[in-house]
Amino acid sequence: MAVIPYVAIVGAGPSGLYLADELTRTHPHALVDIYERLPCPFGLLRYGVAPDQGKVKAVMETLGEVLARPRVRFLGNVEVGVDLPVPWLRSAYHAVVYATGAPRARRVEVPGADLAGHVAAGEIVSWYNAHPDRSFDPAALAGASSVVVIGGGNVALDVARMLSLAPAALADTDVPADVLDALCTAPVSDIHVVYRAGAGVAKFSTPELRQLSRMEDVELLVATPLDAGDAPTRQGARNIALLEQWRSRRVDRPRRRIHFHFHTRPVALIGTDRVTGVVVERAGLGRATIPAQLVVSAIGFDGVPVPGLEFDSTSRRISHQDGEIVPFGAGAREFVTGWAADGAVGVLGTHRASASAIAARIVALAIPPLPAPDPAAVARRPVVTKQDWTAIDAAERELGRLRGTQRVKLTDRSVLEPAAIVAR
Amino acid sequence: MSFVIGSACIDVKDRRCLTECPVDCIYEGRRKLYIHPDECIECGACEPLCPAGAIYFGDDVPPEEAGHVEAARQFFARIGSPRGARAFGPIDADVLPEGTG
Repeated sequence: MAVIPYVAIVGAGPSGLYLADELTRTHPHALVDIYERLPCPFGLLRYGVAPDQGKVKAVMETLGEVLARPRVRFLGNVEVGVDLPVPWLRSAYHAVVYATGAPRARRVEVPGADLAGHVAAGEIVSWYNAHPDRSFDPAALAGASSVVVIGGGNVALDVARMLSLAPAALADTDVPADVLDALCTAPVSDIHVVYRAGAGVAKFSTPELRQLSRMEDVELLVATPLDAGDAPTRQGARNIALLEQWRSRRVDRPRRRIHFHFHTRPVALIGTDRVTGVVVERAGLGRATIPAQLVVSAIGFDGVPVPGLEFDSTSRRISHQDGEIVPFGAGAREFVTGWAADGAVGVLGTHRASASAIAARIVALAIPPLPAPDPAAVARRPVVTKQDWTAIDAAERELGRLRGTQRVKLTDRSVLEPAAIVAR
Repeated sequence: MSFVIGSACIDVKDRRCLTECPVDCIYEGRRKLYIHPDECIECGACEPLCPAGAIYFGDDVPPEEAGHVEAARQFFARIGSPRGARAFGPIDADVLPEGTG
């Protein structure tokens, strides 16, 4: 009889689910357990992708089909390394794959960076995406007429756009009611996107940049020269063409103005108890101060350590060689995939190829028989199962129906954890 | 508007794009690959991967390649929306704009 491979995937985000997809497609018997720190699956799709990106969010339906497969188990609310020790996984599975992503948002470190009113993009993204561990205080938004977003990638654009969307567009997303209220009543008039290099090398994807111009009552302004020296990437050249078009676009009585500042780097955040402005150095143009009551650092994300695994503090990733963790001894072969392995780069799908490469390596392993793993008996926290998630999903869709949109997300662990799900 | 694959893919079919499409919406015809216009989520993962530079964002398709937009629509008119190119498999047909190939 064929030996059944038992595979644990740590992290139910896109990388983990793409891997589960590959494993169950390419192996006729493999059983996959997907562990997730949060009660709900989908990782960055649910908690990172901006709520107004309906088409991208819809990938949750596709990956939900993978989760629904009989040979895939979901173990939500279990943090590997905390609620379930790494050595236990090593002994219970043939292969363990860490797909823990890059959840820690970086902040610029300049004088004044510790002032209230400066947040990492991750905090605001987690807030509008109803992350159970969100910490952003929307009071920061209530007093903000001018916002500076530091960074040249899609997260910077996401934040600028989410702070600019009209109330009707916001209502037609899955944001919870408190977020909807705070965004609709925010007094923001100007958003400044500040990027240290040129438009030709910024990481903005052209479709995301173009989305800004679909907001008809938002004025888009380019505050600095576009052509200062960089050899543009193909994407950069297209972005420059788009930004050039915007230079001639005028909006009567704009609801928001988004200003792009290229070749501009923050030097200091100023203010007494709260931030009131950002001092910037503009290449060839000297220093200036941009007023800001809210400053958002959108300069990238780092991985987080998993207790029990070696962590490379320079690259801020789990240590691995070519996707595999150097063997600890006997037990499961251990791999790392997605952002946890390669860093926070690329768009959704960039890591589908690495998922299929790792699946091929796992399928090719020569394996001894093992008893079926029983994580629920070992985990220190109650497990959110696939059925529990189905109940959460149905409750969110019902909340959405009441608001006239597809879904409204539940935020608090108190309603997402197993006891609450049973009581519902 | 979705991404579109143009003439540079004809008889090349590098297929690198297939591996990174998050929704598996790039289908294989006999001579070229086709992006499903209704399934594409416009994420842009495929575009930089193409060694032939054959992939265009819908709004940026150059005039000489514009015929591929309608050709892709016709290609999928017969197939519908299978939502998964891999499971569907290659298609032994092509729809190419007039005067191509």
